[in-house]
Amino acid sequence: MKISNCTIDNFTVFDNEKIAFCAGVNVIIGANGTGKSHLLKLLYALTQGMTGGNGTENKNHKDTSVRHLLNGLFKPENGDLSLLLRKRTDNAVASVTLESKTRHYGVIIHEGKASQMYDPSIIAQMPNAKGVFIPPNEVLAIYPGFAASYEKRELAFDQTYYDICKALSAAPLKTKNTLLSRLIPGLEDILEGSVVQKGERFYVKSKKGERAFEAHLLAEGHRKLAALVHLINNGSIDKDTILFWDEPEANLNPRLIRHVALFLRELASLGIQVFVTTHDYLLIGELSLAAEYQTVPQVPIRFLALSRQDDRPVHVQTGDTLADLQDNPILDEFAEHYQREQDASLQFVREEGGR
Amino acid sequence: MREGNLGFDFGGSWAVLKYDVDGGFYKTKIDKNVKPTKGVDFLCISQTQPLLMMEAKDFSLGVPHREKFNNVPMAVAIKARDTLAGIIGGSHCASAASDLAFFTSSRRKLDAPPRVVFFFSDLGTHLRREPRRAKQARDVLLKQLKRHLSWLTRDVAVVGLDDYQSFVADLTIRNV
Repeated sequence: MKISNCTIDNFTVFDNEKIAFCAGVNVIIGANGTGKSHLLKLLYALTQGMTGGNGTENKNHKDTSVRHLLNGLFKPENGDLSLLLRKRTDNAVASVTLESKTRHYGVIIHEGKASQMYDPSIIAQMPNAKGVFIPPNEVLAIYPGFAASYEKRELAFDQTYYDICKALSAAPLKTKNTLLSRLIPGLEDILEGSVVQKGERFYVKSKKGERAFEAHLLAEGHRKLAALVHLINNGSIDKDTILFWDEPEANLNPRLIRHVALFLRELASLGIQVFVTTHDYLLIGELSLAAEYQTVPQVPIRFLALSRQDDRPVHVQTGDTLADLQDNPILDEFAEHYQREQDASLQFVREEGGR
Repeated sequence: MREGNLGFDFGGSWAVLKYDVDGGFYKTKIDKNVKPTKGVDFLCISQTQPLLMMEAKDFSLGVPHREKFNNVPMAVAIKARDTLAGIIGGSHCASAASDLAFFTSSRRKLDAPPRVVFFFSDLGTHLRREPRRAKQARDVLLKQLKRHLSWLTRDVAVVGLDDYQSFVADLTIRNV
């Protein structure tokens, strides 16, 4: 299953937006506060709701599940979902609808409650798609005991951290997906070892096997990649996955960005739909190069720019390459940076000349 | 052909019009009557290549204060846009037979997207910008220019003295 469209009405910073996605890599950019992570979490929440049941469940039960999911992801105060509405007038409603090629699924939030819009007979036919959400901060360091703590205590983490830890908890598959397994050596080359799980802890075992480094001792960026390796090894990321990755660049050295860009495209080439949010000049540049020059693996790539002026609702602009986006705050800020350099340098030259 | 302190020799495979030359169609017919109008420095036709629209800036003596880094890409894009109009007008209304023929050929070439090349002689030395930073700055210029020209073409390049020959075959640029 691939998400082809999403319609958002009156939800957080979105007023009324219909957004079209591609089946490959969807790259979401925008300044802070423009709703990138909200969009990613919404897509994830609805993907989970869309595919989370077998269609025979009681609707009330499923409504409760989706309410818990939205609460866990967006953490509104006191669990009041009406706080997620953009306009909170009497009887105000927020709705979000996902479309795949042949199916629709939506959630309505009204009077603080969430209910689903779906046809159970359609849900029953859903292919076994699932969402995997990788949050901005790496999780291997907090993994030991995190899921159990999250279940018992109020923690300042949203549910994406819990879900990814649950996904990591599965042991490696005996029979691995041969196509996806081909992506692992590239990541292991960067890590200079293979990823091993022993009980509640993860290690990177050097190639010759003489040393095993505990996850805590690895660089944060490497921990992120190690988690990906394990998620592929244990089947959490497989051909039916929709991958949501919030700011992959966080804690990654720029040297690794091109590997991440290639990895995302390789995932897409194996049929995995990818959604990433980013602030990274290099990452968007690498992906745009691939889109522009159709480099191998050739996969659909779409760029989405979220922008917002003052308190107005967010506007979403889409393009096939970076050049198609008029709103590109990353590029604008780099240009401003070089302008500041030019201004400073000219000022310096003038002052030198005046002496 | 000369632009600032630089001489441009395009070689035998190109037919070239110095579009903004004094006394030419652009200066006498467009610039005089429709203000403001802009134009690129060179229009170039070859048998095998798309129409080449080339803008050249000689920054070797420093970027003039009015040439803000941030404004350069938009200025080049506006020149490319206005030159397109000039090509159409020239193909109908140029009085010199050679200009009429050149603009007609240029217009025919526009069945395919044109190539827009922005050449600048230097964007670093006078700013004490080390070479890697100059390259990064150039990349930012290129991405901005591509954004401003995405409605017209994806065939856009920002080139300097070190690599212009990779983008415009047979061209030689020298200080004059």
